[in-house]
Amino acid sequence: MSMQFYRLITLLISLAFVAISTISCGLAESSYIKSVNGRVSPTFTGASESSYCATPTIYGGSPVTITGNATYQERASFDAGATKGLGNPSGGISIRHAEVLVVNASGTRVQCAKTDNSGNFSFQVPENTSSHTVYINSRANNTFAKVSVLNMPEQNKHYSISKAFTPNSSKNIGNLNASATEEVIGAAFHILDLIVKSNDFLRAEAGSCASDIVNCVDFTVADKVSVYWEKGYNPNAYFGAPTSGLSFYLPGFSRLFILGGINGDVDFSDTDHFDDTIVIHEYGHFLEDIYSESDSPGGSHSGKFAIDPRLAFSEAWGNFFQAAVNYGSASVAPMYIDTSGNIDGDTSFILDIPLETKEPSCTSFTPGCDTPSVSGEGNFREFAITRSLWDVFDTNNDGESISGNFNEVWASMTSGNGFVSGSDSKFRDVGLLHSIQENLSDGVSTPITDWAPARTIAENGQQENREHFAQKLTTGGFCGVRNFNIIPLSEGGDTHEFDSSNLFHNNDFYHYEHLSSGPATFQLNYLTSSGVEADLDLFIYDEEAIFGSSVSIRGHDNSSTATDPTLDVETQTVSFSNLSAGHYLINVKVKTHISASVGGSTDYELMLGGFRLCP
Amino acid sequence: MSINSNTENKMSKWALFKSFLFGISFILVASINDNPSKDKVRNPASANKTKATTSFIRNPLLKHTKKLSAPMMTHIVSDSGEVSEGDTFTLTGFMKASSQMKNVEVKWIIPNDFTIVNGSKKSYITSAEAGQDYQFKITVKSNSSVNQIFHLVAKSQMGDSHFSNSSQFHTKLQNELNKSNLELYERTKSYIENSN
Repeated sequence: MSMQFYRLITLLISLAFVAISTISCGLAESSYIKSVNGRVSPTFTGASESSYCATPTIYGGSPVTITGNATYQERASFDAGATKGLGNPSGGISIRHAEVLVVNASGTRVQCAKTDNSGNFSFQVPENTSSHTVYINSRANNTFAKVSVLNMPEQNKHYSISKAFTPNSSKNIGNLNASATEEVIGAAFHILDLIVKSNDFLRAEAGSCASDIVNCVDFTVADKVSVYWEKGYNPNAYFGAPTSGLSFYLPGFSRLFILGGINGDVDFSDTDHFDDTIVIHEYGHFLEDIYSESDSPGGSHSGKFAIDPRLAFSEAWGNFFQAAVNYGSASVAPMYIDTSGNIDGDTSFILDIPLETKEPSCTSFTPGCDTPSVSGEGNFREFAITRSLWDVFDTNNDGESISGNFNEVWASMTSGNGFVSGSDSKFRDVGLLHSIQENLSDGVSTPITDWAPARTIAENGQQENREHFAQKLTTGGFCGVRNFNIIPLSEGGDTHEFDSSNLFHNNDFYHYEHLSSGPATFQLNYLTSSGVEADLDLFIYDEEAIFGSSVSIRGHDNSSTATDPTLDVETQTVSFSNLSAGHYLINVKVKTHISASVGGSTDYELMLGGFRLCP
Repeated sequence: MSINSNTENKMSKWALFKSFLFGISFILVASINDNPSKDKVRNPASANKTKATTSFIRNPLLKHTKKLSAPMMTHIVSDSGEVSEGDTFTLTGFMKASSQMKNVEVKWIIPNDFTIVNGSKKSYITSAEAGQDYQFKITVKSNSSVNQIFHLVAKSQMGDSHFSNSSQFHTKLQNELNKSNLELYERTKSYIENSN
């Protein structure tokens, strides 16, 4: 009886599913929803791209020569006082160095070519009276750039503009244009052109790096990158936030995802395909991944708070790189601009942040203001770092007279004695970059350029060492009792959770390398000499070290001393029975919620197995 | 690869199950976490001295950075499900600033085929307090048989810096969009977790 009952229930559930499925099939789907339904993951490996059309075919006899020109339209940002955002479609801009594919009437590939620097193309095919078609594809795989602009990882389809012609004689078939309206195919070619432009810039600035800087490698052309973009699609939908616009780089996959709109809309919503800032910023992350090393944990950044210095540097590099490519060293007004919508709908700036100097009337609540309160805090601030990198590149003398130093930034990030070197190059941040730059040599001088004037401008506020983040400690050195000090800071907005903890003032971070697996006991001993006793916690993070992450924290002691307000030596202890060999980040963190006061200046020491850890 | 936001309407069978699916989608919308990486995991603290609780942060689904955002956010809530021609419905827009902002302009962008019954298209907040939700209601009558998109846009200026944020509401496809987007998130999560 019960078995029959269950079978009946199962049957009814199945019928209900079929009914719902049938109804769903009957529902008219928008092509946007079809696109979403066809996606799986940014990491998904779908069908391979069609083979790249690179090798021209040589025809004997008397082939005809076909010429033409390819252009795309973009929408440039504009600022007309009360109105600002993305403007009208531009005139035709040359599609440079792109793949050209020619097929005959039966669809057989008969010729390959590429556009030149002016968007012109020329190829030969046998004389014929049947219709042929030329395709200009959103791909390049040559000495100028290696990039495919594709729709989604699940399909890997590139975009094209095409024109039919009859090769009955040599002729010019005129212009092919990718429009910035309707299907917005111009966007795919604009993204392609920005990658070409970035490679042009790198060749100009770092193409002879080896002769300028010892151990630097000449840049020729970057490895291949896949850029995924689709009109109306927001890559944040993969992460469950489809209404919050996102473009991002996927480390380890050589994939960029560029925001094509929100839920199918491009005219009123956030898009990034015409935001040169965003596209080149993300390409900067790709370069960082392929040619350097990044330890950025990713996540949120606001441009107004002290953040993880690894994230701050990585984002600043992207900001700086886009400014250098888009504006050039002679600019006195480089910007970070993110737009929403366009003039055919409703348009605005989501953000516009000046990068040469901070916006004069900005406050600590303004994104991009990012003003350090003391020297060294700039290492924790994205836009302070952006401004200092810009200052060593630009020709404008505003408190410094350094210029043309892109190659030193590049060498510090990419050369064998830079970010990519040895075990001390962990938890990479701008402090490490500065210390590497100070040791760069052109074979005559070390350093090649003194960056101190750019670094120490008050609104840049950086230090050329790792004193405030990931200084390496060992038990082999010598240092005195309670050799470190922290001065807790009470500030508004601190909700006593990890994501509002002031990483500069209320946290100290140290790099510890555990050379071989085995037991380890870390001890934090601290003493507040006067006033209210501070309450410090001890966290041991793995090498990925995502602040506050339950996965990254290998061990912790956050027991509170709030019930023992006596000014005596307090101890926090974290023990491991078998700690794997590797790199760890030790975090001494102020617990800010113990009382109205966060505590006074506190001296502390870190011990490992009874031995003091010293710089 | 084409996208048509004005989807043709073949809703007769669908209408039978409209209220059922609306209910389902309401649950789905409620379960959408707009920022999964910010989830908190409350773990037990260590047992020494006074016990202390710490809200640890869950790792993101996939390591990536977020875009810089304006210091204000908007979103729209509708009192209706799928909107049919002749329907009158009310949209409530919300604006929340993450820091105090002056002179915030908030406007509705209303498609041509809709008539305002109550409420105004544009509002100003002279001083928006950080963390406070501001509401903007508008009641409209539909004269459209196809999907249309309403937008709520908030703009502000601090010195020479400009900020904006917008959100949208689809009159016919909102529930289906929510459902498809949520299913994509679940597929992504499952795929990545199974790949690790």
